[in-house]
Amino acid sequence: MRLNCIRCKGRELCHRENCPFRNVFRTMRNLRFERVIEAITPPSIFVGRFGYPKVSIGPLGVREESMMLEPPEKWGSLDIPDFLANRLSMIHGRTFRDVKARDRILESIQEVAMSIKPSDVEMEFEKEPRIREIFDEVIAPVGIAGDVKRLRLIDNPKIPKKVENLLSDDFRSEEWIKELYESGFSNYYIEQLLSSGVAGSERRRRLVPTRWAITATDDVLGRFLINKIRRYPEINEIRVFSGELMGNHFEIVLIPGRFYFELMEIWMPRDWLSATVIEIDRENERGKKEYSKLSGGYYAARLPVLEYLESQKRCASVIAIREIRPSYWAPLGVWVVREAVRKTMKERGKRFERIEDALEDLKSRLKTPESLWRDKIKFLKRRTLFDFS
Amino acid sequence: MFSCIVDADVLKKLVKASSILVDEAKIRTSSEGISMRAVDSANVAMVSFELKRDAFELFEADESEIGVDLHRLEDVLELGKKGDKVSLSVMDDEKLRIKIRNLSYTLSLIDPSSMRRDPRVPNLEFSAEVWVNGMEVDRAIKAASKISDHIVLGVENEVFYMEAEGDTDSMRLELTKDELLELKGGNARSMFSLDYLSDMSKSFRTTDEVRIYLGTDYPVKITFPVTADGEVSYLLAPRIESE
Repeated sequence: MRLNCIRCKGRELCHRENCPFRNVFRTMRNLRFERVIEAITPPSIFVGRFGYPKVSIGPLGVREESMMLEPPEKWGSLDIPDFLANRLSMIHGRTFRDVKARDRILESIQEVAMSIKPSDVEMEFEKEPRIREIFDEVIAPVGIAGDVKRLRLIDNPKIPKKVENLLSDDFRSEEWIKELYESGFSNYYIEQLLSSGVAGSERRRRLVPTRWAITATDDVLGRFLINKIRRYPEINEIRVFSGELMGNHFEIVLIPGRFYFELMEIWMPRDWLSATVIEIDRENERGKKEYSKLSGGYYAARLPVLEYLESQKRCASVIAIREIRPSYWAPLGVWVVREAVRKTMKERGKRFERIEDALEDLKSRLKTPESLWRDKIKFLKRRTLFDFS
Repeated sequence: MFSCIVDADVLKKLVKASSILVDEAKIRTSSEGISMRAVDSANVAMVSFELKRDAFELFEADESEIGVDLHRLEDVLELGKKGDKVSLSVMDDEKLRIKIRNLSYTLSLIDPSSMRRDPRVPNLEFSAEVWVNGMEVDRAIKAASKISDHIVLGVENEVFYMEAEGDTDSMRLELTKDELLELKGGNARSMFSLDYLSDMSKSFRTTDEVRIYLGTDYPVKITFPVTADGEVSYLLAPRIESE
């Protein structure tokens, strides 16, 4: 883990005046739980990945409606402590199952996953649920977990007709993802369906750990969009978009050309002992052969840029720079990256004739000196056949 | 209207040589034969081929373009054995009919107007020309791949060399004028990505005579015959050595 705050979790090892975790954990430590909890779920479920193929699965709920988080598209409007306080007060009523298992409890959990309106769930626990923070670079944090004995959905789930229809068809998961996306469902809804094990052709349905489902959804949608975008006409000038969310600053440069995507991650130093770390990954329209070394963040950053190009019906070569500032002090999950880029692509872009001018413009908004990153951009080193005639 | 019969092996070589760079190809047909030209998505490499009508057992064609998915065509051609003939025909229905012995296959074509325009051929002047056995080049490329991502091709004082440097190891192949089939021109030196060259060398490693055209910090052109009346040609942009 790159962040010391995560290790310390509010024990104030840093002696900072304002411990970001303190307030969050103070609220949490005061929480007392009963054996039987009636919770409200947004609806949301979580599938763990440890112990695969026997994994934990269950709904995520809060005890009071006022504590319930908005859909993930709106999480970005909170500040980090508020987001954490909300998110960490969620209770994961979990049960352990083989990924291919089928039974009544799983069916209830799947109904939660498919439903599109908040629903009350009654959870009876083996013993009182406990604080069990899960922090991860890909998934959003989860705060409290307990093993459930009994799980009851109080409201009837509201399942979209489209999903009901897909359930009876024998489509592969990839088709599910595309179909749902084209019908206007968000990537967040899709990844939840995927992880709940209802998607895909009937024989092959299984639970998918949330972490994997998030990136699988980003990647399948990404490849689907790239395949369309690469046939569109090229944009006709260089466009630069700039934006920031929760300490994740993005500069995105679209350049006329065939489809190409390069992501540069700049991890700014967190104290005077550490150095700037810069990592890069990239692909052209033929796609990536292996999992990105930048992990799920790569696919999460790529998707909104592709959504922009698709909305414009234009193709471009893309250089995306993500500067991770010290103010991003807790890993909150790749939704931050995705929403940061979505926000960035909604800004009014600036237009340039020459790539040098575009870089000159964006360097003023980055905190990292140009000398550290400019020479590392692979796109600038490329020579094409047409540079020689 | 297009109809021909040709050695399955020859066609397979052309398709494989092209599919390493592009997924789709626009094949031009004329009374002279068939030809194709395409660049990869990064504009770093170009492949072109030409197969003259004399290479075919039967050949009838108008001026036209056929858009094919190369990987699917490759899959079909894999079904043929050495020595098999393949018959290809396109009627008015935008489908390619392929027949190998008693097996018929229909492949949907891609509308050529929806595909990328043919790239223009860069106007290049090379300073050196080397004719070499494909197997030698392939050996050097394989050796270099074990230690690095890139390889230098050059000519110095009438010696053709290929060299690569890794973090700790290095490799060099030298062929003097006597060991080559032909060496013309002066000195040259350029560096290339092995990603591309390794794929390319699979298409010419069994060819006795591969012609390599070089310059300094300049693209390379590699041409080789697939049959008496057919030839494949690659162009590859160099990498900047300071990388």
